[in-house]
Amino acid sequence: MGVRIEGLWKLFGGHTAVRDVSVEIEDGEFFVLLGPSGCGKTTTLRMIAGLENLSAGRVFFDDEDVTFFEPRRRDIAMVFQDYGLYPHLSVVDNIMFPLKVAGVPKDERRRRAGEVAERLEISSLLKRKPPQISGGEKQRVALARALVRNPKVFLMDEPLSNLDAKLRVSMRTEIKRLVSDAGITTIYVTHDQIEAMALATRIAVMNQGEMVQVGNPLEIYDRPATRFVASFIGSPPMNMFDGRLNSAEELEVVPRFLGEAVSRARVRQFYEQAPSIGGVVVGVRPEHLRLGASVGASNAVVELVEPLGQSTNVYLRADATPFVAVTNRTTLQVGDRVDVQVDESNIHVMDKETGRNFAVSPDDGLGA
Amino acid sequence: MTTLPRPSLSLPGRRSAESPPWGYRARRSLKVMAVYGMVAVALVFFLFPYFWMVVSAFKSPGDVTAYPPVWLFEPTLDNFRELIESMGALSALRNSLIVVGLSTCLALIFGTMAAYALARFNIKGKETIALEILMVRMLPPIVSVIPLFLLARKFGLFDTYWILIAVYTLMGLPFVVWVMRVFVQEIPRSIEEAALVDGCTRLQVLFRISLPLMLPGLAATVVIIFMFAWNEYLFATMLTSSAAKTLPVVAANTVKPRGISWGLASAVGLLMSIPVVVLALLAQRYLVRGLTFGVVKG
Repeated sequence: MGVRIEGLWKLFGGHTAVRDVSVEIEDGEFFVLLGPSGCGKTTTLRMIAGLENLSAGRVFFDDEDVTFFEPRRRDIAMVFQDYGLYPHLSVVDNIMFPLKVAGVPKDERRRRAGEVAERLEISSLLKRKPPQISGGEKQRVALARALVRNPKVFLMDEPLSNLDAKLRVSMRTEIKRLVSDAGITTIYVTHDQIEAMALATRIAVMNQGEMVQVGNPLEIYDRPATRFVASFIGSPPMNMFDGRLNSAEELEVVPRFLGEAVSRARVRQFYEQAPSIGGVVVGVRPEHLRLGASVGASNAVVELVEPLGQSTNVYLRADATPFVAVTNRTTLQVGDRVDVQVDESNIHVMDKETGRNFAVSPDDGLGA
Repeated sequence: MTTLPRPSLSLPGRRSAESPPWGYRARRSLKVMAVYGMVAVALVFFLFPYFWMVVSAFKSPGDVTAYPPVWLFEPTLDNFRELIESMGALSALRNSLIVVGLSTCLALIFGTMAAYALARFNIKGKETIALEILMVRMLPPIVSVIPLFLLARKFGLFDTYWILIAVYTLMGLPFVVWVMRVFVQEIPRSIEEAALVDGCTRLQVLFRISLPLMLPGLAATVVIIFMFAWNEYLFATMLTSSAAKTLPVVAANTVKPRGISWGLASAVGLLMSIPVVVLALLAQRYLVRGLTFGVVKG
């Protein structure tokens, strides 16, 4: 089932938690709300669930206006950050609880709970109570309880954040598999950009209550609409430098090789978008920097090398400005001089004031 | 678990032993015995008066006041006979059970619902409401007993169950509200929200999810407000005369003009203590806290 939200606002006292958020989520989509803590993503999810009253706006499931429906009438299932298991009920009773409330006959309840438990490999835990099982197992039980009812929409509020790093990655794959098998529309909240990239069919990046950009993971990665999105997504984060568009055909930035990499035509293109703007922020992703052998007057010096196995982080300095590049395995040593190259298509030029990325056309991904 | 050889310590004067050092076990059991010993002393200290009351209840007037106290005597039921036949103890016991039982139930039902609302919902000025409820409790009973007496006469409630039930419910409510509010607050919201999403109404959430989690609190509260009402004397004596007379009033009547009748006082004391002891034993298994403990962590 598709979910559409229109002009969602949430005010807590004088504080605006969610500001005019609208988005249309298609049937079967895995939609991720991504942003730093306090950006309003969880509040948005809770308003879709009906657990939070709206200050303004509308929520539609398909074409039905559910804005004022109680949570129980929305036919949704939700997985909470702390799992929200019923501690006084056994695992199997937890899983059967939604069916019991819905008045499903006992035999049917047992059969369906058994099936789901089988699928999540928790059949051996059914008789235990939540305080007696581990965090990862609780997570599975919470998922089983959500899956058992075949809801119209799945809502997940940072379901993996209480797990340790290794378990988080394996549960992530499992969630993706389970949800795509079930083919149920899913809205997933997280602050972890890697989780978002790995799971989503589409990501909405939120910041300070606003939805900054909506798009598929690679779109967001390659064409961040604002400086915030550019810096929030990617690890190590995008290198950012202060610069100026000081005449129609020159991008002035330190380190200088960046400015030199951008053609006059492209600078003019940026300049035309915002002739009044002097200050810009120039961004380039670490993996878009190519380190070549030193030829004569090399432009950078290696300051630190972090070999991570599959890739290497190389910390460099050019024109007294530090930045980081990601390369394959390398024999570079601290103190080596290297030649840094970059394609002009990989250079992002953003308005220093508004953060808008001139390299991405303003309609890209916004208000999808 | 560890089959690895332990690194041998070669410190002077120390043997690398595979089992704990000798004497460790003995010291440990000595410690346990000491704890049991102290518990026994405390029990004797606290239970002896009760024991003495039970014994005295079966003594004849001569044995009760004998000095030095007699340990061996011929037990008699005379005290109980007199309580029942001439002091109306049985009907007072029935009155007490009805009045206190009902008022405890009412206070528990209304108090828990109020506590739930005060803990969970955004009610304007709910802190003030909670404080106002508490103030009922702070009022010295003697202040309200005269107006209540007049009201009871006016509305024909004097010497009926209803006036005592109303008063005791009102006395128990603040306690229930304040204690249960804390217990409600301790239940993680996500548990209730999960139930809401799973298809429950608010009331279903309360009865199916929250109440079972609050059982330890409910058990403790029941015992305490039952005891308060059970022992209450001032209102009982002022607002009843004969038909609705409760046990504390009978107990007070064992103080006679010529002195205290110790045998009777002990007998009525024994009678009064039985329901409370039974209730406490019933509630005991719920009094173990920690049902909600460890819900979130893991």
